Amino acid sequence: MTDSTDATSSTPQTPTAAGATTLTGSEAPAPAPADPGERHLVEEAVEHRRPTAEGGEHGAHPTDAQYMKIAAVLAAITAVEVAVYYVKKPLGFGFAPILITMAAVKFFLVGAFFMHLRFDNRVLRRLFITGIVLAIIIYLIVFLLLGVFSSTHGAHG
Amino acid sequence: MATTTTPEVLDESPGESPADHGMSPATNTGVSNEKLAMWSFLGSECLLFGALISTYFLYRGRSLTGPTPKNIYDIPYTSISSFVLLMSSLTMVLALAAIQRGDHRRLRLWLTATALLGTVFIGGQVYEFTSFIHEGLTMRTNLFGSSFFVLTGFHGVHVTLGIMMLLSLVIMSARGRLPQSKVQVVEIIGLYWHFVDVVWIVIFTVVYLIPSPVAHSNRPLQIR
Repeated sequence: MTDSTDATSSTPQTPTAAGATTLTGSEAPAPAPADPGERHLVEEAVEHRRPTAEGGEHGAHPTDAQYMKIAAVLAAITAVEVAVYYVKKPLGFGFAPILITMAAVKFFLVGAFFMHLRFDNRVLRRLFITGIVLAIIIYLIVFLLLGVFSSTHGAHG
Repeated sequence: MATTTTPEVLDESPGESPADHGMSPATNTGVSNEKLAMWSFLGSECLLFGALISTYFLYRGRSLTGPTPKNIYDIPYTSISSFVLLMSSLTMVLALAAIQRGDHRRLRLWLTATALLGTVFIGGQVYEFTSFIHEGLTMRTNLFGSSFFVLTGFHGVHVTLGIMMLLSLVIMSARGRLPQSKVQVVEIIGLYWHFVDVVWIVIFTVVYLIPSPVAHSNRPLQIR
């Protein structure tokens, strides 16, 4: 997912009503350390301790109408996928990449908006992306070892 | 994930946890442990389904006997199933939005709709499996049968577990045991549900829409 919405440098947002957080203590103004480096560390620690508000750390979640628009886009892409399946001959070698691209777009839309990865803490995004990237790398290595991409698929010796 | 123990971070009453107030305990990551655990689980599930999809991919076009995908796939039928599961993600996210607003009637409505759409998808899968078996494709028929039934079967089990969790939420809500403060429970189960949806997005494309290679090979797979 895009890192553009990361709020690593954004100002802390007030948790929404759904999250209903009641921070005390660390929220109260405290004497700031004189050393800029130390001040940065303290600010970072406070930011990391802030509980996750359900309204999203890095912006408000989409409205119901926006969710429906996203679902309409997903449905439209699915329809195009099926249409592409039936007209595969003119597309030639571009057939599979087109389908994979459309699946990736659908994957992104569900992950970013329905799973709120676009709005949530970037730690979660990294966890999920790590799983996906790890899976792709591991199985690509397996495919290469077994010669799946070579013209003599599996032929050896 | 270690939680911070500094008493000044959260103003808690004795015997009450932050979760009782619908908020996450302060953690080193700024994310609740439950949510982090679910995302870690989903990350590991990527590897599980990656293995199953890769196995299907490796065995594509290597079956010595039929039926083959070309003979038995019913793309219009599976497309409708895919559409149904995709729309269940919409109803799931609307359920989450409803509990975030404190609208419990709509929460139950959307959760029930999600479970219903999931049941339609599973019903479709059961019908598909039955028709494949009638056409002579079982797990033991050929490599295609083995890898296809294991992959889609595992996904089906995940959807079934998701339906059970959704129905549990509906019952909890109906009994008044799912207050707005427990919004994170709905969110976490929603994450699981969306995950099974994105896995199906990949399966639908890789397994159903991209055809097997025409040239079949009966040579064994060997490590180079």
